[in-house]
Amino acid sequence: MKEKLKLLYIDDEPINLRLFELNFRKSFEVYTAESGFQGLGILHKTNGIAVVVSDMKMPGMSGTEFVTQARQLFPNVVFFILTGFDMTDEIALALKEGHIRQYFRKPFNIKEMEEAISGVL
Amino acid sequence: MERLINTIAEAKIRIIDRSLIASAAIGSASYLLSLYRFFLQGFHISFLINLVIIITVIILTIMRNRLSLTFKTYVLIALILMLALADCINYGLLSTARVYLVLIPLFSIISLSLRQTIVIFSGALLTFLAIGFLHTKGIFSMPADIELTVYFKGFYPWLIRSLHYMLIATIILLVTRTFISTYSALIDDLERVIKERTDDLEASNEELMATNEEIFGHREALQKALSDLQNAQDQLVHSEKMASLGVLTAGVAHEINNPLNFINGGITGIESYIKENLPDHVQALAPLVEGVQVGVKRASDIVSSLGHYSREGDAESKTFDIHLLLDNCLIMLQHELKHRITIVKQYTGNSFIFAGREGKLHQAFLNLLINAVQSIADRGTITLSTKTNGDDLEICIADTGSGIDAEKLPRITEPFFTTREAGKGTGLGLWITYNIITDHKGKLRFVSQPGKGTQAIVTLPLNKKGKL
Repeated sequence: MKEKLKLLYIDDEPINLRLFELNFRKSFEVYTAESGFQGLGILHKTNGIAVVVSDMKMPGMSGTEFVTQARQLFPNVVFFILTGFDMTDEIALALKEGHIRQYFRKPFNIKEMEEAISGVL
Repeated sequence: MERLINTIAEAKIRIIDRSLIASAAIGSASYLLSLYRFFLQGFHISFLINLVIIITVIILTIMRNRLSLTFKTYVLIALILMLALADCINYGLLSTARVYLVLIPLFSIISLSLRQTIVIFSGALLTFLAIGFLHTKGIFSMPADIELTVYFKGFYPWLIRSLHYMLIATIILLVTRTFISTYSALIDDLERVIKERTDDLEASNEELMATNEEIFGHREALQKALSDLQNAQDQLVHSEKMASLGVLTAGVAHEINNPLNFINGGITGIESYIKENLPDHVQALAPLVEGVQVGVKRASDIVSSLGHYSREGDAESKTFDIHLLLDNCLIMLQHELKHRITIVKQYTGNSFIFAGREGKLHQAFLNLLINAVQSIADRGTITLSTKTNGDDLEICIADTGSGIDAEKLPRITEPFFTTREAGKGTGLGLWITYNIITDHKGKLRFVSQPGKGTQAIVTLPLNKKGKL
């Protein structure tokens, strides 16, 4: 059996983190962080994280702000956004500039997300 | 009025003065003629009396301008009385001057009242009767030397009478003519004054009418300005309300999506847990799981459509023909329309190419058409018309459906406002439509008559990007 894809999920709501882990742990090796700063720390510590899924609205650093910073440090990582918002100008810009691969809306559709993330490999 | 009184007073003076002149002239002639009798019959007291009278008349005539009207009238009446009555005393029935008595009321009424006139004339008549009575009693008698047969056979009595009549006739003529000419002059005068006043009145009336019309015009303009202001205010309030609702719903949407995510994540986890660990229970629990999933899906769809109109990338903007877009909407609804609803198309001859989000506008027009279709219970007509109006293109979707009550009309674009029964509609269709159209700098308004139908009128600007 091949090694599971390493995935980092960032959201300021602990319930979201727990539920995400529970639902995706079968397919991926899930790491979680409650903020962008924490996320950057995990990316530094952990080798081989291929995919990051981030919330948009978080205290301190927004999803797109985090992605912009993280991409400079980890250019090989693929970024996704999972948000309760509709498309915003910020997300549209990040998509256009290639910072994020795709954006998902809450409530997440597990199939859609699994397919998209698996497609990274 | 004062002028009128003056004119009449002048007329009276003129009558008395001219009567004096006529009396002096014709009286002198008569007196000279009566001198013929003096030579024939010798002196008689009457010659003296008449002389005094005629001299007084001549003096009055000469001094007429310095004497007052009343004085002249009294003296004239006194002289007539004296002349007539003395003549009666002296000559009885042969008296010729008695005829002058008829002039008394004529002069009297000119400067005295009717009552005074009647008193004076009655007195004169009574005196006349008294003189007659005294003649019958022999106290007065005619001069003894008059030969009656000679007198009556002569021409003199005819001549002297004709002079008397001439004088009386002249005076009556004078009086009547003077009054007639005075009054007709006065009437002419009055008519002229009345005409002038009427003209003045008509002129000022016309002026007033003009001013009135002007005021009326101002009033209408003011009323129009007021209703324009009210409309502008209503529109402002409405668009403010819609904008606030937009902000509110976007916020609510986000806040609801997180708990929905919890529920969704939870149920997804539970579902896979059951499959793995409790396979015997899958069938029993499936409807429960499905219920939660359907609920989440529906809530998520509603929340999604709340913000659906907004913030989609400009990348989607493309050009399209508005008429083709409307036709596409109709094709999509063909199943609903079949055998039930007649479509009438009244498109303007030109084709109008817009730049915008075709998909969104498609959704907006489809919503309007669906509403039109659903308002028609049985059979009806939907008329699609387009026309240019200044810098705008007006697209009107008119149905012959049930219409919307006046009090509901302003609210139909609010989110969650629905006239359908619970569960049959979210009340978001027109809210989304409204937002799509305002996003394209357009306007959406409705005209409706309950029982007759509704017109949805979309106005899109031609001059911004659109017209090719």
